Amino acid sequence: MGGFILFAGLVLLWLVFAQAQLSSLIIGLPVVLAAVFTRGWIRGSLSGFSFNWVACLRLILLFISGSVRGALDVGLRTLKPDMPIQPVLFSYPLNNISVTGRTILAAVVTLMPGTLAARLADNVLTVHSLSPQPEVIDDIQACAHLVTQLWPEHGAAHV
Amino acid sequence: MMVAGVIFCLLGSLFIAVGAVTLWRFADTLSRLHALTKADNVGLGFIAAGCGLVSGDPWFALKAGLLWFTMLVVSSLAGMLLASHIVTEQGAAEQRCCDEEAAE
Repeated sequence: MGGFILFAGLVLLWLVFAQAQLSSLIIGLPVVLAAVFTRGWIRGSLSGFSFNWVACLRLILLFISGSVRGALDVGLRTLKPDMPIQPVLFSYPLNNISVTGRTILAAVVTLMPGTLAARLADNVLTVHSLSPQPEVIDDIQACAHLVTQLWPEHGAAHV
Repeated sequence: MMVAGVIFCLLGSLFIAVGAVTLWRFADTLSRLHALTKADNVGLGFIAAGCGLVSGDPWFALKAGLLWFTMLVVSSLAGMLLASHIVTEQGAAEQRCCDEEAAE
């Protein structure tokens, strides 16, 4: 059932981008089928999703505001003559977050200001930061809280 | 609408230009990935919004928005995969170095 929904969603997305030209499915259909059949290679899925309007909206807002703040942050650092960056790698523990939630969290963290999810292994997310600032951890914690509300721990059992 | 769209497009171009400068100025690959996953995405978002406003066609604006969101998802995941590969390679190189020192 999950595979069919993914297939239908991707075909719809393709048709929107291809201005509903059915002839474009000559390329689109094999690509969509490849995506559907290879999804098992990727750890996690969208299963275990617990719909919560407030958390969903807050995550989308955090995602968009984080992207804009992240872009401004990188831009300002680049344009300053002394280029204030001190790259560091640190580990963030992912206890009580489902497998799917971890993937979503890593994707959101990558768009947040000054952070890049560098590795997702076991119960630890390795984060690359442009500077060792405490606000970075606060941002990740806020994301992790929202992700946990949307993909509770029991979602891991579906993977 | 037209003026706002042009302003958005110019703003987007500015972000993409800054992203290009970041690639040039930052020294290591992981830091450069910050530019690709942030500045370029926001630049594309502003350009998509600007094109949507200039066209005045809601269907076109929806497609541009959808394209931007798809790019955000793909870019963040691709950035994470690239960073993961780099960190793993660095770890393996450090391990090889330690092993060689221990052998000597």
